[in-house]
Amino acid sequence: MAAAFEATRVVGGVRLELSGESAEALAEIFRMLSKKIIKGDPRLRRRMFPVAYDRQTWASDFWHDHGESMRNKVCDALDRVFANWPGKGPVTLDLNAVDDWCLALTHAQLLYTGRRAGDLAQRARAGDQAAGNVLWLRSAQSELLIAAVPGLR
Amino acid sequence: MDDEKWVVRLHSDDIATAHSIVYALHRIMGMPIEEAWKRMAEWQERGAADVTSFTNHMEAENLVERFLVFGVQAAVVQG
Repeated sequence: MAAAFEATRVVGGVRLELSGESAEALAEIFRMLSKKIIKGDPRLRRRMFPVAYDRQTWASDFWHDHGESMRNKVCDALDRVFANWPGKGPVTLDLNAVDDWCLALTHAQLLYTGRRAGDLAQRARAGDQAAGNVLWLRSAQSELLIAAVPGLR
Repeated sequence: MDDEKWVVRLHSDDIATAHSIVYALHRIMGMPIEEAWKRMAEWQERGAADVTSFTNHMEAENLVERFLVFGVQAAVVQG
């Protein structure tokens, strides 16, 4: 995937510009994420929402009480991303929209790897495309956040 | 489960980055950026950082939910 993801601070937020190829790929990744969440992919679910308590019964209760809400909130964020960005062209984001992109870019990484991913750079150098995708998504997220909040540089 | 202390703990992993942790602390908890960098450094060095605590476990759970939605690995721990 080409490293063409530029975030620039503008009045009221951040302007994102993606190359055509990058925009197409990212939109496809976000669509895949949304589909898998809605479908209830168990592996992705475990990656996205690790247990919230050490004690198993409390962890189960937490999932019972919060699981649907968490899934819905991520799906709602993805819907808002697409409502504001049709998968091509530049887009200007306010901070609430930056939140949506930020969480989408994090959860998208979990399509390709677990939270214990090891040395992704080494994996990518060895030709692991999934690791390369994770690194690209991570880099895009950092660029976005640095542009959004000056103190993050 | 109440009348106890419920700590919200962020765990490090290979997905979250320094930037995403600082941003999440700032946006979810309203933590000033400078303080968020300090908590992130603890998160990086120790593999976990306790960010706040509550006497009501539901409040702790609601905050953990917000971090998990943001993609940050978080848990409720009895203090």
